[in-house]
Amino acid sequence: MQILETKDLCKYYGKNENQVKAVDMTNISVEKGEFAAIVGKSGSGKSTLLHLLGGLDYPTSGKVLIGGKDIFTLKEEALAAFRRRKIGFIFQSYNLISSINVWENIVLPIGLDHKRADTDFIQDILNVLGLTEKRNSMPNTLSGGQQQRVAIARALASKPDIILADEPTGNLDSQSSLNVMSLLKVSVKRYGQTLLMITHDEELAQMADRILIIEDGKVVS
Amino acid sequence: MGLHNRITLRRFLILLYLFLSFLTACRELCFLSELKSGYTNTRQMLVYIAAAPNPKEAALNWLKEPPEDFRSKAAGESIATYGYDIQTVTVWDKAYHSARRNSLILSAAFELLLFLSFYILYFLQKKRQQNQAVELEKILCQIQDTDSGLLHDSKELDDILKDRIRSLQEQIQSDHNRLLQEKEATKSLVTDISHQLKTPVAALKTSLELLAAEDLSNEEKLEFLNSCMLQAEGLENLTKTLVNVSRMEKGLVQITAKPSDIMDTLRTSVSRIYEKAQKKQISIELEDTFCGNTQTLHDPKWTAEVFVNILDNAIKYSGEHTRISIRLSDLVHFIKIEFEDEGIGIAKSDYHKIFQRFYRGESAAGVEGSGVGLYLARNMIDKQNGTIFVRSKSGSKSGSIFSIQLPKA
Repeated sequence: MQILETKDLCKYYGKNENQVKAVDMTNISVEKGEFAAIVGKSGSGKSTLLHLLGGLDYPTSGKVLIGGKDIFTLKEEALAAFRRRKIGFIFQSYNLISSINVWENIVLPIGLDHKRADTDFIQDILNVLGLTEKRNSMPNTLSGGQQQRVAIARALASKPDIILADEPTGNLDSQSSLNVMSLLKVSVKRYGQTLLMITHDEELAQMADRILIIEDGKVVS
Repeated sequence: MGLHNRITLRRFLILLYLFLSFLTACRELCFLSELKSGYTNTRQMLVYIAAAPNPKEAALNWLKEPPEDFRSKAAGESIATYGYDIQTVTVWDKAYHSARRNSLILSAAFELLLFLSFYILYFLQKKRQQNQAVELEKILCQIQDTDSGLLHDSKELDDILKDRIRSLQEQIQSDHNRLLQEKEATKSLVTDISHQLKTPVAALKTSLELLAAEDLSNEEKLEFLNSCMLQAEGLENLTKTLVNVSRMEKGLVQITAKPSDIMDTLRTSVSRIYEKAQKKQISIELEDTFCGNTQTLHDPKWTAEVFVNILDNAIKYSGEHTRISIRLSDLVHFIKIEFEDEGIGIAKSDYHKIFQRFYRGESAAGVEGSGVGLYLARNMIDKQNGTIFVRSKSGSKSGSIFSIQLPKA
């Protein structure tokens, strides 16, 4: 069962000579429970692709199917709800909210969906990611690696079907990167989620079940 | 709105209806009593004026200000002398009763309308729920038939219910696919194993055949016997590895990770391949720069296997008089163990592939090996919640560095 599929996905900017083909006729598919890494040099279209996959940006043409549903046929509000429930995001720059503490950051998306947070489940996530003591700390008191782990916990908390990670270790030093990556892999395996990760680090990419190489907007393998 | 909320809505409708009816009834009673007292007052006013010594004057005075004592019995008694009883004045009664009747009819009509509206609302709610139940039943039947497509749209069900059902469908679908995949995997495993065994068995057979058929000198015979022995040993190793692979694939290998000292496991592994390294004059150095707790959550037996495999590869693919270094470092939640060799190295494009079953890099063609070691290694490390990856040495030196991360205890 393909949890994620794209059909001739294109994102072009500009026209004629100035046209930039950020994503060009891309067809990929990801199985449920798979850990896939998208590798490519900077400017190869990785982030654009991820944004399209997550419904954060509209394509010039082509389809993105999540669970068989073409997400761009949904209206904005429905798409937002879909994103909130089905997809978890992890960004390079953590994107935590600085005025609330770790626990509150993690349960925020759940609250936005008017649901109650499963406290035991989230406590388990905190344990797996080694954040138990930092439960009530504010984000600005945490190190880069810790902040990224909070972002990971946030993505896992709402039990989404897919997690999209855009260079999750981009802002971390090599030791933290490895630590965070290993923890991410362990938690995704534990909770049975599908993980699609962008990275430029080919060594970290090895931890994935499958590697997709992207060059000039096209996925070549 | 969930199903639970819908039941509450119906109860709410009933309560609202009863409340509005109650209000209507109260209002009706108030109106009726107002009506009655209105008529009674008017009658008493007339009686008072009629009984007054100067009716015209009394009436005009009334207009200015109604007297307080107009209900006094005296007035009632003097009217009685004219033959009228204050209680029974039929003309007023008719008007009064008519007004009263009209009001009651109006109220009844209103009440009926209210009842009908609420009944319709209640009925619609119930119907909606029924439809939802019917739709749900249809979908559940669909789910049982796994060949059907995914649920796309249903008008009757609400979003959250739809989402849950879709997730359920996806899960069933993926379980189904996984079973199919496992079947395929078993098929391919069997094929791979038979393929791998063919060559050494054939070589062994040929050697034995030659041994039996040809007229050979003792030296030649000895040579062939040695070659047979080598083939047999190779077969033995191969079968051992393949048994491990099969066990791993079928989930029969029990990996129990418990807190143990990783240094012990490392020392065990090194001692196992030490002799082999000695033969090629390869030195193995375990750097002791790591100062910290070396307790990790791992299965000593199987992790030792992994280490042996990596060291074995390092020895196999390195030249003589080279060095293999082993280093430990601290990652916040993991301990990293690095195995660095000075061997032929691994091409970047092969990084990911070497961990696949039966894959061997192009440069490894001349060296003996079965290509399952790293596949098993990755599997075992994964099962212990660890990670493994490889990189080549940069610069002029060749060689590979294998990194294994295991969780701290």
